[in-house]
Amino acid sequence: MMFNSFYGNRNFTNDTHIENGKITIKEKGFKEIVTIVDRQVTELKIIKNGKFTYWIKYGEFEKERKNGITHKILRFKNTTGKGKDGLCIRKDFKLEGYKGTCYTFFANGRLMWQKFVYPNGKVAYYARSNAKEIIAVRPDGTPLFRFEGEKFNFKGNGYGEPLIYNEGMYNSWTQAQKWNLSKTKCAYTFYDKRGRAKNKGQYENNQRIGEWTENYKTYFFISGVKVNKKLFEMPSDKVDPYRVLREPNAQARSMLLKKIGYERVVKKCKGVVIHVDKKRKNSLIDFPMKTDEKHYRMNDQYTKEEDEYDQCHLRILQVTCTSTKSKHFIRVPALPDWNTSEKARQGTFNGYDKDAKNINFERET
Amino acid sequence: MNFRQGDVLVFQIKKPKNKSVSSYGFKHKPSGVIIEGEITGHLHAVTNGKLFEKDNKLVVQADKGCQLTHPEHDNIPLPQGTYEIKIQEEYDDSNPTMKSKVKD
Repeated sequence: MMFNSFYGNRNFTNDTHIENGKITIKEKGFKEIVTIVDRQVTELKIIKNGKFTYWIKYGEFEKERKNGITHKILRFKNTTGKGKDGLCIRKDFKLEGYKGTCYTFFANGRLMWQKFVYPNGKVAYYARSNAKEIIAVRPDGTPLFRFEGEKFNFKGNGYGEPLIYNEGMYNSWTQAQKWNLSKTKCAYTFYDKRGRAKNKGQYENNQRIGEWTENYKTYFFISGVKVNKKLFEMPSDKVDPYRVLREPNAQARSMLLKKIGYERVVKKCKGVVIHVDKKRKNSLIDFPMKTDEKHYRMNDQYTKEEDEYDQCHLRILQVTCTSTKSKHFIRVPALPDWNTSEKARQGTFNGYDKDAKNINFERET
Repeated sequence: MNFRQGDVLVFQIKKPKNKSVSSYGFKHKPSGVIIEGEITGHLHAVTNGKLFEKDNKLVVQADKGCQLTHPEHDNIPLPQGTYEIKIQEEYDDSNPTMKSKVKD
């Protein structure tokens, strides 16, 4: 990429007339040297104010330097000169403010392990790609953080670097976001110097759940929704199931469904399941519940009896989110045209136009 | 080509190549934020694309690498093109239009 951009910027092509030799470009305080062998660029050096800042030798290594000191080396596979195999990346950075060096080992391009070592030789963390737990310490050996999870994400941070650490991307990020944690299922705890949990939390299906601590302050989450301690600790059978049906916010409804339990809400509110879509895990449920608010008519084509039924029933489409696996309740008309889960689901997309064609989505998340 | 991310629906629309979205009176929304969750504060947003708004109607001009993002949902890559964005609606018989946008 670097070579292509080099030529691209200067209207060269790979088929340059230069067969062998060096091109040096000089500007004030800046020098770029390109080595060409048999019309192939083999080396590129960038020198700023007399010091190397970047050096790549195709098929061997790529180095980045700051103030004349190498702070990152990426080595390519010996035999092919491409890809990563062996101890490929060495990078200096600060781990939660503590200076050190991070080593990353690959096998056939796949990241196998990563460790961070302080200048005093103490290993901050050693993380294997299949680890279910990572424990890190400070240079003096006191605990720094602990991660637990199904798997850790080494796919790369925002800069495309295969680090589980992301610090420096955005100042607004929470401590959890600084780490490439898989949010499928994971928990993290950051300790202060006295060993107290300063920040901790857990994710399940991309949503915050359970007890969280941020700067020693405790919060509670159910299905990604922040709730008060009273509701969080209340036994589920003490929560009024009709709260789900009265709640105007879909996310809060979903949270209450999780708290109370879907089956219990349907049973206690005398719901009748009129259709189940096993493929999408959706269902259509009628709840006998008279609406107190002013009732408008859906359409003049419905009989008085049908309209009265709609007025005295809440028809709910229960949908399951593909990303969070949470169940959601969406109100749909309790009228004859909306009697299957898919028809009702389509209504939520087309504004309840019963004559509209079905909408198919290329991808739903 | 249509996509759905939670309650956000994305429909591809055809637009003459020689006319820009803004020439139809749409204003650029630099934040790229489609909608913010009332309770969680989580945002449905567009990256590597331009979001336009006119009379509560949202249109995305997707460039190369455009994505629809949300912290709880998987990102959806949008192929280059123009898309209209709508929010899923639920039945609401207290409203003369008989529907209201899903609030989350």
